[in-house]
Amino acid sequence: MGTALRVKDLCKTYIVNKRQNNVLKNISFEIEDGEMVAVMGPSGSGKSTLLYSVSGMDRPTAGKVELGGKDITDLSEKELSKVRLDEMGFIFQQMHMLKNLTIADNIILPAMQSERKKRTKTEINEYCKELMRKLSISDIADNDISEVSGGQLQRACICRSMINRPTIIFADEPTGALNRGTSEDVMKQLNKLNDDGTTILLVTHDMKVASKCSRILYIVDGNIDGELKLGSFDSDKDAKDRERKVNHWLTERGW
Amino acid sequence: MYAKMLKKDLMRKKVMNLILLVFILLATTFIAASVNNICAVLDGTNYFYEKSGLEDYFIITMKKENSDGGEDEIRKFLKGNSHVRDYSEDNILYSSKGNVKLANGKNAEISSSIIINCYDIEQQRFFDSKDNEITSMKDGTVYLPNSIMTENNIKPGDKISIVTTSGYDKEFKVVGSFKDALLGSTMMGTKRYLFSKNDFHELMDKSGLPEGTIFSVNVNGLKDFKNDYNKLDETTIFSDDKATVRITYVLDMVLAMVLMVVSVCLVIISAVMLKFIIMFTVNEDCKEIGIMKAIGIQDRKIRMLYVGKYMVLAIVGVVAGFFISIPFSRIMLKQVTRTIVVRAGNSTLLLQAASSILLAMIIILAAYRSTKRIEKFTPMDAIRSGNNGERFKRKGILSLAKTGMRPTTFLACNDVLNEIKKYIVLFVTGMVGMWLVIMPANTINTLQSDKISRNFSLIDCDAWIVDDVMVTDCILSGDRKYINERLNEYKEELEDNNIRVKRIFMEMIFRLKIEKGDLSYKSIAFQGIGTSADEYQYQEGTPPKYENEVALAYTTARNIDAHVGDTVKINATGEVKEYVVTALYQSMNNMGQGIRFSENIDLDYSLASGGFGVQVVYDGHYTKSEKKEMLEKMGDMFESAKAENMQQFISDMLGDVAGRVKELKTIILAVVLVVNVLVIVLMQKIFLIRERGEIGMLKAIGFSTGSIIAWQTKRVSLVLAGGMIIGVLTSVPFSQITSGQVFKLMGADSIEFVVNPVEVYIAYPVIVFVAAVIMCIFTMLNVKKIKIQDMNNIE
Repeated sequence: MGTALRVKDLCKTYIVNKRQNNVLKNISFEIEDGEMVAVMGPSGSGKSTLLYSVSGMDRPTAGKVELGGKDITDLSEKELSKVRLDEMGFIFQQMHMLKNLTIADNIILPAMQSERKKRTKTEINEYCKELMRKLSISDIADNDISEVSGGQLQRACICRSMINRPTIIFADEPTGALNRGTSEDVMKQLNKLNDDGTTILLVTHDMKVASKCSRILYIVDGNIDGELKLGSFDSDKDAKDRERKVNHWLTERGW
Repeated sequence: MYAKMLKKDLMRKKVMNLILLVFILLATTFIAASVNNICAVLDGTNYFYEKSGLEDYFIITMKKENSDGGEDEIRKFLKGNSHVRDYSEDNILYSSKGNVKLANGKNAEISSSIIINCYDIEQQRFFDSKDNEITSMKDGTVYLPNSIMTENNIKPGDKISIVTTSGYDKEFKVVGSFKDALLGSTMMGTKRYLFSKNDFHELMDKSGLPEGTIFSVNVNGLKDFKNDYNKLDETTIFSDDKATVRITYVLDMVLAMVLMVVSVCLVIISAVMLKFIIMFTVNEDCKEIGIMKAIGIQDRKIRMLYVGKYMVLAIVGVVAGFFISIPFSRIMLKQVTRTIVVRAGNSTLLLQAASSILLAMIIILAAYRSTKRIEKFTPMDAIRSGNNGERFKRKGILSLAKTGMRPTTFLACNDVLNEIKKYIVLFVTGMVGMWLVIMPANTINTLQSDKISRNFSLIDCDAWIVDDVMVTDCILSGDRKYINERLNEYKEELEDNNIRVKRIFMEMIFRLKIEKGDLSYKSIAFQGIGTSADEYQYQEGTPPKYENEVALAYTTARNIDAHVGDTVKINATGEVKEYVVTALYQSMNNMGQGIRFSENIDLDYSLASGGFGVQVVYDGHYTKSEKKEMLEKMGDMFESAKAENMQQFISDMLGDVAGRVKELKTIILAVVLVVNVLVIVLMQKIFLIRERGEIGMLKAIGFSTGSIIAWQTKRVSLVLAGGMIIGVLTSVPFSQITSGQVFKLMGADSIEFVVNPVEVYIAYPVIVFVAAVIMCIFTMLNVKKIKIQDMNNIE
């Protein structure tokens, strides 16, 4: 088993009104292939900044980020785009999609854009159908984004993040905008993807979501304050136990 | 508070506001200057006529060897006609190129007939180049028309000589150019020289030049007078009313009219852009508008806040445009004031100010109407960022899954198809831009084409030898045989000089009375010497072939309500005979007048009043440079003549209108390029703001900056190309509607525009398109500044 993501001495500083704001302070951690890691922490602790910095969406001020063994901190903007397109998937809290495209077209858009993985139009469409079937949204393929529910839209976003068969998926509060039922549904799909071997790093406020991950990183004031290893999530049977464990751990950290 | 909000808003969208300001400024400058120019010409001719003391009707005669040119009959008619209030007559002399020598001993380049007159005549006042009335002239001096001074590079103080075959040879000092209300327009084929009283009398006595008279008639009821006069059999050189003379100034208005079309198009584009910008701003500010409504601010006040901003832009743009239009208008008017005297004083400034104020009001009104949407906003819209959750129109017309296009191409096409309204401004700009560029190009190409001769009811030829002396001899001879002999002499002389001639021919001109029932009309008539009537172009019917057949030009036909198959009466052979109208044709000769006789009719050549030059068709094919050399050779061979090709001949007839339009073409191309660039920059700036979120999201899912620029550029290119293609395809009808009207005034009801495919379909579209695309890419470099985090601004 290799290292999917290696983060070393990561710093991110914003200058606001000529004042330096150190959001991330020398953060280091690693994620192994196939792991599903949740990042938790109070508001303003730097969770989303960490996610954006390690996923190449934003450039860190200092430190190193290796994705699949490749240092992405020194890549040019063009090379970073290729990494985002071909090697990773990203799920946003707000389910951003292009409004003039159907659900299916939104999903296949990155695949059609990708040059590295040469696939025919038919192969891409077939894979899209397969993903949509897996995530139970086959019936909304030709719908507009305004014609489907939030849960369906988030699942469509997951499909889009998977369309180029990435080795790692980053998710920023993937259930943040969803109701409880839909959130559980989405988490089931993420667990399923993880079971299939996809590494996942997600940011969440939701204890239930975090309890379904194999590991939790707790971040406070730009530093990793603690780490909880839960092991892989096998079934809903031990869900309650995991939730209690997470709850207890978080309470200890002043959650 | 409002002032603060206004200031903030103006600064926040600096580039957009600046571009809108430039549009308003350009539109004001063009519209104020061209309105002023058109009014100056329209009012100018009235004013000029009034100031010159021009009467209602003019008759110009030419005395011949055995006749007084009908002068006695005309006098009798004028004295006896109840519609004539009074009339005056002034003696004139006819001269030609061969009679005018420059200081270097060469003949002056003159493409028109020349009338020699005394400056002090009863019927008309003349004005110098500074609009001062010419009240005295020293002996030994001469005033020349502006066109002849320009053509021969004659400056005030230079000397010219009048030389005649009777041995008269006298040098005159040129005082300068002068303005002549009757014969001064670009289109008038006859120009006038002014001499002092003593010199004129000397010329009358000693020069031996043909004499004539100008009758100037003040009438009471022009229509009745014309009806009576047209019944008179006498043939004259010219006879028409003031209104017809005014139409000859139409070419002097071409520049102003083209600029007016450009201005109107700019105003339309400005108004559409204004609406687009306001709609965008209002949508973008829906939150603020909702909040303002929520706290109880009235709709009217909110609307005024937005209108206020555009009012500021309109006022600043219009005021600046007004001031720029003053020198611009002066430059434009310079062309016109070479030939006419325009009203002095502040009226032109007032006119410019009035048109500028009107434009400002249109813009403010357009702004007010565009802010109507504000009334529809509710505080809830603020909370929902303008979305009410309802959508009735299906999106996603194209399918990426099915088309297999490149994603950037697909996104571009899909965006355009889904939101066509958003791209209308760009589409219209592309289309109108092509119209504006192609219209003058088509006009020039038509005027300079070989086909244009047909619209003048002429036969194509390789060379014209325009020799007024020869034409005058032919008129005076009154004998067709003599004209044929002269043509043969020309042919022999050309061949002696190694210019092989396939055929040689010329057109003789008559001014005849034509009647149908109670209606009668004096019209120009033609018979070709050495041509056959079936060689000319006719729009209806078949060419006249027999002795009792004629073809009529539309203007002549309209005046006597004649159609193909009708019988008309003409005295062309010494007696009034009936002729069957076999064909109708259009002609830009003499404002569309014309009667064409078959070559088989023996016309009375003592009635001839003029003639075009000798037309030569070479035997064999020659290159352009060879033809040019041959023309030069002919110029040397016939000293009193001007040798030119068909284009030069037409250009002389029209007063180089093609040259004037050519100058404009470059200006219009520059304006179109600037307008396209401004529209694209403005729209792209708006799209960048509006699509910030989507661009951020595309970056997040792996689209590179280059791909995003490609998407945006393809989208703009697609719309612009669409507009340009429609513009190119409809450019001929647009040319018909605009410059076709000028041709129509000149007598060509339906002109077939000559299109240069390389210029119209390739060169101009490519220039405009490439410039626009480069500018689009340049503007889109701002995509680099949009960050992935901006996707949270997604709509």
